[in-house]
This record gives sequence, C-alpha cells and structure tokens, in this order.
Amino acid sequence: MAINFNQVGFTYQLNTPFATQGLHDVNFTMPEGKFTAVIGHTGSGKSTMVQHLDGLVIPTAGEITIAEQRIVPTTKPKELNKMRAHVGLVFQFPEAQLFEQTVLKDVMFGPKNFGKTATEAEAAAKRALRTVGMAEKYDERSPFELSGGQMRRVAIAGVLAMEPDLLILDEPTAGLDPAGQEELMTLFARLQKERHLTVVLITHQMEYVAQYADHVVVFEGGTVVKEGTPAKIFDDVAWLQEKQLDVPIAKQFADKLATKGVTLDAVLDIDALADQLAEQLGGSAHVH
Amino acid sequence: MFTNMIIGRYMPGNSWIHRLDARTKLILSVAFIFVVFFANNVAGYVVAIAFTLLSILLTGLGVGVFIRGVRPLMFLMFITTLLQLFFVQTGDVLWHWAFLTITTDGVTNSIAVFVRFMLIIMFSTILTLTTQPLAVADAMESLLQPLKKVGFPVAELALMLSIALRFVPTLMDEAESIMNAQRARGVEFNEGNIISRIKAFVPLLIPLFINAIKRAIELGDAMEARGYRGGDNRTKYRVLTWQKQDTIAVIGFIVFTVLLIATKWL
Amino acid sequence: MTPIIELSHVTYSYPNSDTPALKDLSLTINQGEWVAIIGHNGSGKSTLAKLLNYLLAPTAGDITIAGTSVTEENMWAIRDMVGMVFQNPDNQFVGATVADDVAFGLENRGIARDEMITRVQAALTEVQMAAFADREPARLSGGQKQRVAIASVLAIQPKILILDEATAMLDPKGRREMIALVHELKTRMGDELTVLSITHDIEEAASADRVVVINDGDLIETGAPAQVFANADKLREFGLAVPFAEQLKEKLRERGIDVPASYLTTEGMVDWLWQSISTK
Repeated sequence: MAINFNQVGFTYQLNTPFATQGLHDVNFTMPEGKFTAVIGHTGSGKSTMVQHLDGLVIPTAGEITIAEQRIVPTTKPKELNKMRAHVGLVFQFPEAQLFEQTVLKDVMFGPKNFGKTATEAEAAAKRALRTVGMAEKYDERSPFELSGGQMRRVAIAGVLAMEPDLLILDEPTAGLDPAGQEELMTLFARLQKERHLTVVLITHQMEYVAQYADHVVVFEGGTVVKEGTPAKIFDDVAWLQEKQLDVPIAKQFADKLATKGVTLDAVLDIDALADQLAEQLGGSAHVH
Repeated sequence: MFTNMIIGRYMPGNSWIHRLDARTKLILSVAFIFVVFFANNVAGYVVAIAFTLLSILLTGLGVGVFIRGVRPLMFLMFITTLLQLFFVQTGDVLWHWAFLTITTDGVTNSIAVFVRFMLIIMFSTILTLTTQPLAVADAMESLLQPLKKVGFPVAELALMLSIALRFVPTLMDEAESIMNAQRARGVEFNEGNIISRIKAFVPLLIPLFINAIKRAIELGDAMEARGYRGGDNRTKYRVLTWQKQDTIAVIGFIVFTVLLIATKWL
Repeated sequence: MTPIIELSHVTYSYPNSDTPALKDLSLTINQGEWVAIIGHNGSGKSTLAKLLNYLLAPTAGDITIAGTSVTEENMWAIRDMVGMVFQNPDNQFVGATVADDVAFGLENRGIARDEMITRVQAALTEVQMAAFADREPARLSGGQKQRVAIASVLAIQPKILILDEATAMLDPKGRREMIALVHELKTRMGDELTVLSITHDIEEAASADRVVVINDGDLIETGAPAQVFANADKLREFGLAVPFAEQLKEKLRERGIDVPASYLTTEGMVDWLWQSISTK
C-alpha cells in the first residue's frame, strides 16, 4: 500500500477561536512494500501525521492517497472503516490498549471487529501470538498478569492479527531494555521482508533508520523539510544538528576519524564502517 | 485535542472579580442561592437582576458567555417552569383545558421559578468562569477547616482533590490515545445503535481504569518517598489571601440582601 | 572513602513470587560516588532502589544509610536523606504546577512558607526550570517533568539521589539533558551528593564512577565502567547494550584485525585507529 500526501494540512478546531495549525503543506510519498522512517524532533508534527495514515483524523486541506483510498477534507469518517482493516497501527506504549479477559480474546478483538468469524479470528490471533514469540501457555491468561514486555508483545500481536498490508509503528521500542528493543526491531524487519509489507517507522533512534529504512521523511514545524534515502538524509551533519536530530553513531564515529585524517566513504552502520576500516588496516574486509 | 477544553470553563482575565479571593466567591455564590428566594415581586426581581448584571459586567467577560452558560440547563428550566404554570392549583383560574389549569398563582410561581433559576445559574457561572478549579479546591479546604476539630480529614480530601484536578488533562490525553488505538482496531465510537455505542466504551474504560489504578499506586510510592505521611503538620505553599476588595465584595452583597428583603414590604 | 549505603546479605521476594527478586546481595556505596546499577528489565535493580528508602522491606538482611538502619521506625529519617526520581514522569508529579510540585516535599516536612519559597526558587534554578514555575505538568515534556522531579529532591537537600530508570521513558534529547544535569550537579556538589543511577542505558552508566551489574537477583560484578564494559559477550548475556567502541572492536576482530584487549572509549578507539592506519 503506497502512501501519498499532497499539500496536506491539518488545523485543530478549525473555525473556532482555538484553531491551531498542526500540519501544513505536507508532501511526501512512502513507497509500497518498503520501509520508510519518519523522523523529527518532538512536536514537529509526526504524531499528527500518523493519525492521518489510519484515517483517525481527516485532513483540513490537501489530499491523501493510501493504496486506492483517497482522503480529502470532505471525506466522511465512515468511508474509512474499510481501509482501516488493512492498516495496522502500533501506538507508543501499545500495551495501554489491552482490555480483554484473556490474551487470546484481546488479540482476536481486531479481526472480529473487521468481520472475521470467531474461528478465523482465533486462528489469526494464534498465528500472531506465535509470531511475536508469545508461547501458547499465555493464551488463556489475563493480559494484566504479564510483564511489561509481554504485554507489549500481546498488543503488537493484536495489530498483526488483522494481517495488515500497511504497518505503522510509532516508537515501538520506547521504554524497553536493549535486548527487548533489538528483538522487536528484528521481528519487524523480518515481517517486512517476508510479507512484503509497507512499513512506516516513527522513531528517534537514528540507528534504526540507518539499519532498516529504505526511505526517510523528515518533519519540522508541521511540515516535511527533507525526503530521501538514509544516506542522503545523514549526509549533512550541520543540517541535522540544526534540526535537533541525531546522527547515527557509526557516522559520528566516521566523522571523528575524518578529523584525524582518516577518510572513509559514506558509512551509516557499523558493518560498513568495520569493512572499510578492516581494509585500511590490512585485514580481510569481509567476514568469512 | 481534549486538552484545549477549558476545565470548569475558567476564562482567564484580570477583572476585579477575577482577583477576588476564591473563598469570597464561593461563599457568596452559595449565599446567593438562598438570598435570591427573597425576590418575589417586581421590585425584588429588578433588584436581583440588577445585582446579577452588575456582577457579570464586573467580570469583564461579556454577557454573551453567561447567556450561553444557561443553554445546557434550558431544558430543565423549561420543564420546571411549565410544571409550575400548569400544576399549581391555588389562586384564580385563568384558563382551563382537560387536566391542564393555569391559575394566577401558577403564573406568579412560574415567573419566580424562571427568574430565580436563571439568576442562580448565572451567578454561579461567575464563580466557575473567574476562578481556577484548583483555587476553588483551596477555598473549600480553607472553609472546611473547622471540621478538622471533629476529625474530618479536610487536608487529605483537599490533596486528593488537587491531585485529581492535576490529572484531568493527563487522563483526557490518555483517553484520546486509547480511543485512537481501539478505533485502529475497528471500534466505532459514535456509530450504531445505543447498545453498540455503550459496548464500544468497554475497550476504553477498562484500560483507562486499570492504568489509572497503576498511576495511583506509583504516585502513592512517590508521595511516600517524598515524605508524605498524612495531613497533620503539613505546611502550605499555596495560600489564599483575603484582601480589602474581598471585604468590599461581602459588604456589597450584604447591601444587596438588605435591599432585597426591603422589597418584600413594597 | 566513607561508606554511605551498606547492603548486607539482602534478600527480597515479592509476595506472589517463588523466586526472590534479590538474593543475598551485599554492596557498599561510598559517599560522593556516582554508581550505576545496570541489568535487564526484571533483573532486580529497581527492587534494590525501593529497598533503600523503605518502599519495600527486605525479607532478609540489613541496610544502613549514613549509619542509620533502614527500618520502619527510621523510615522518615531515611527519606530525609534519600531522594528518588522515578521512571514515569507523570506518576510522580503531584503538584498542580511546577513550583507546587517542588514544594510538596517541603510541605510534608512542615517547612515554613518563607523558607519554602526560597528553597523552591533555588532548586528550580539549579535544574534550569525557574522560568516554568507556574507551568502545569500537562504542558511539560517528559524531560522537563524529570528535571522538576530532580528539583523536588534537591529542595530537601538529601545526601543521596537515586535515579530509578529516570531516563527510560525519555527521548534521546531528554535523556542526554538529564545525564548532563546530573553530571553538573555531581561536579558542583562533590562529596555532598552521592548518586545512584538504576539504568539499562549504556551512556548513563558510562558517566558513572562505578558500575554494578545485577542479573536475576545476583550481584554479578562491580568495577569501573572500563572494566565492566570490556566484556561484550557478558554484557549481551545479561541483556545489556554494548558500547559502540567495543562493538566495533568485535567487528574488526571478526575481520581478522588485532585489536587491543583492554576497554576503549570512543575517543580511545578513534585514536588507536588513526594511529594504526597512519603507520600502515
């Protein structure tokens, strides 16, 4: 499901004395079947934009296209319910959405709402729970008995059970410890490849952007200020600092080496860095 | 953006009324509810309406906001007025149809009810529009101090109230997040028949409730860690100060009350 | 080196659990140290923090803070000496405004209003939040709320500051600001402030004087960051992140390069690399 935003704007409480502009002149394309990262400092408009991706809010200006669904200011919210069945949205701290009496019932909730029969929903739920690494013994437990990390996985399963084509992840690893973070990101990367999903990741961790993203959209002040490949985005360090964005640590390191006179080709991740350094140091550039 | 909703409909301003101590406003609002019952002839209504209008004008917020404040209760007022009009049986009968009767007493009572109702709503609105909810909570704590002597936990309740108020915007934001998450999973909150709309609230209320409890537990730990051990011997950082203008306001109100009582003899 | 926190054979089991969260743990923290306690989620490190101010009572063992035993009788005296900043910025913010929240701890101790005003102002200035004194929490970022939390602790003038995963819910910018602030405070207050950082953030741990590794209730290792971070495999085994320079060393080793065995900081690694390359 490709996504296209064309001159999209969103004003909160339009036509009231409290009107505030959340988004203006937003233009970008997120290619189908690819991994797009959305970055920008807190308050730049990323979260507002994300709500538009699932039709949770209707833009007050411009046009959005998600697969074949066209969304304009006059679109009625009801028309977007069908689209929502194919969009999986994982919010920050998604464990807050758990409410059912058992893990399985909660994961079945989404599919059932979108018309699946109880049997179909149960099968989809079980598949999703295994995918996120939740063992069968937890199926009949109350979600509230689980640890924080487990609750998060159940919440994510609840979204995956809908078997969406478009997966939107809003800081999915927030609050997890390093091992948990790595497990989760590896899972998403794997799913994206296996199921040819369109994935949108909103994140502050530039390492994820460097490692997983095919395409990057940069937000600031309610609009898009740059769009392109990770290499292109991370090239201009001064610009990134001005926008209060981090640089992937591998690149920071390479830049430090550059000041000492060691020049390398553009690197974004640690493997590329190690490869080039190994060559310069006289070892084998590739791992056998 | 729920947080843009004005809680208690406080509207910032710097009028004389805004700057009054919250206790003054609270006491006078309550007193007004009783005093306004002294108005039961034209002169009385004129005095009461004039005093209310004067107070409204002193807030600097314009009469429009106050008229709009009455709207939510219009229906109730309407019903009450009609009940007085049609079901008071005393006095001379003016009109009769089936079981409905309009008597002179019915007319005078319904006017009395209508005017008093309106004035009470408008005068109370002065309190909510010019005083921050927290200041009202502080005022209540201050005024209830005498109850401490009978063991009533005034300080604890006041702290509970101020913490609850502090969390209102936070919980509203959380409710919005949870609603979005559930809508993304296919819940439709504003559609369908009454049964499905009620059912839709379950996936909102349960997480909200459970998270609220979790917050309360964590907050309790934090409060203990910061030395909270109950209301005794606590000092107060936020204080309300009674000033000259508060005394003037009270005197003004007493003058109004006297005038109103005087109208009974006209 | 005067000990300020002493844990002796401390064991703690949560009420509904069969395995203890902490097992026979003994640890001494000296006055003026900045100690980072690291471990994966569920390792017992947060339990440790809560035992220090008697939010939890040990099932076995003793804890002493500045010579005072941590018991129910002494708990309020202990809480005067130990200030804690918790993980969730919202769930520790009691006051209706920033200033109110900083005053909360002072109100609890019956401090006179004039003094409260002075101390609140001073504390807010130290964390650079004085301009936000009348701001409501709903309009603060997570990082700002945590700074207010630190101010509330400083207002009490405690001997010990415990940061219980205080950066876990912040974005990278907020996290960096917090760590920089604690650095500043530690430099300014020297021995008068002992800091305990409970964390799984490697940057925060790297700022400390000493690192203590906890795993499944056991104290695994204690030592300078350099010492603890040198063993990348062990760090991973305990579910922790490995510092970048060490990760790079591993990758180079995989590619057949001889790298120094001892721990290197980022700067150290950069230096070693350019020196090695320029001599080729």
